[in-house]
Amino acid sequence: MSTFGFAGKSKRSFSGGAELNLTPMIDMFVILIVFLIKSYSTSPTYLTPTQDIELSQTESEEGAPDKPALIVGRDGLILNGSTIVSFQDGKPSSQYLRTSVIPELRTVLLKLKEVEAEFTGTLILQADKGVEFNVLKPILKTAGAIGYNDIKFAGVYKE
Amino acid sequence: MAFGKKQGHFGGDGGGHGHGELMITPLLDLFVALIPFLILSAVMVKINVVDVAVSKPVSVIKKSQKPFNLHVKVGPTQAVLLLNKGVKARYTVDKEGVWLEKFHSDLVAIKKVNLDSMEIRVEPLSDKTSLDTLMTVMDSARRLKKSDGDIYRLDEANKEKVKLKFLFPKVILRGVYS
Repeated sequence: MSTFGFAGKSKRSFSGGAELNLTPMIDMFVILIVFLIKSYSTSPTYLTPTQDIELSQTESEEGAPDKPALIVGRDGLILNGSTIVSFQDGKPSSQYLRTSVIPELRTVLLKLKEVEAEFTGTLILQADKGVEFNVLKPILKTAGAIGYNDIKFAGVYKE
Repeated sequence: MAFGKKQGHFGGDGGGHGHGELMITPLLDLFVALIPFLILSAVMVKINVVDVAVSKPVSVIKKSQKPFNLHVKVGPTQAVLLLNKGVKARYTVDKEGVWLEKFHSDLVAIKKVNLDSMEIRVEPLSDKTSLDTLMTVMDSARRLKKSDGDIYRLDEANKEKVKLKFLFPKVILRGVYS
């Protein structure tokens, strides 16, 4: 791939008159950049870890699909970068824990369901490892009522 | 980084009659800056997922199925393994994960006599059960380790022995609707 074939014809010469051929280096850079950009943008397996949450470790070899990821952090529920519900002391309000339904999450997931091209009912749950089941319960129940029954708990791959 | 002198920048002398040269120094500078940026900004970890089905309340039970109900109830301090509604083993949950070894070996023993069974129900004993504990249990129930030895099941269609890769890969989370 000699993209910049003219690159080596610099007039800058060394004392001996030799010229530095930059073409292979530029070719290498181009390949490297294409590779980095491609691996960065198209691999859903490599989710960017979210601050403030520590994921559990998993030995599962199943990669994360290209599906919506709901982040359950200490500060609240986050979907696509926006906070849906804020938590206090790492938990949703007692009302949600009592009723086991989160209306704000329901509204957002319903919109998401409409937008999704091929709805499979898959939802990735990126939750802090310290999250207790009573916090997960209303989330799973709300998601399940809409049709998100294929829950995938995200974890850091442990070899 | 050298954004140096404009040497031969497309016929910088104003002439531009075919003997101009492309100044590649800025291009190289850009590449050199871009590569570390891409490498450093893409600080990512490989995140995998554990597929979990959420158990829903049902009114009809298929009676034609062979009765096999493997069920583990896990709490912050203790866990119970039940097979066909009978208690198979009790464990004291420790942070070091010693109990998991025993739990896993019990599951392997169950699997060896129930080769066609793929399901395990995981139920939190208390609302205080952490996701980490649940994930650990689910992982342990799904994975077949090298140290477990090879387990084979007979594939009825091809009449061939098939080496199993998983213990109980279908994990069903109970307790959400109760």
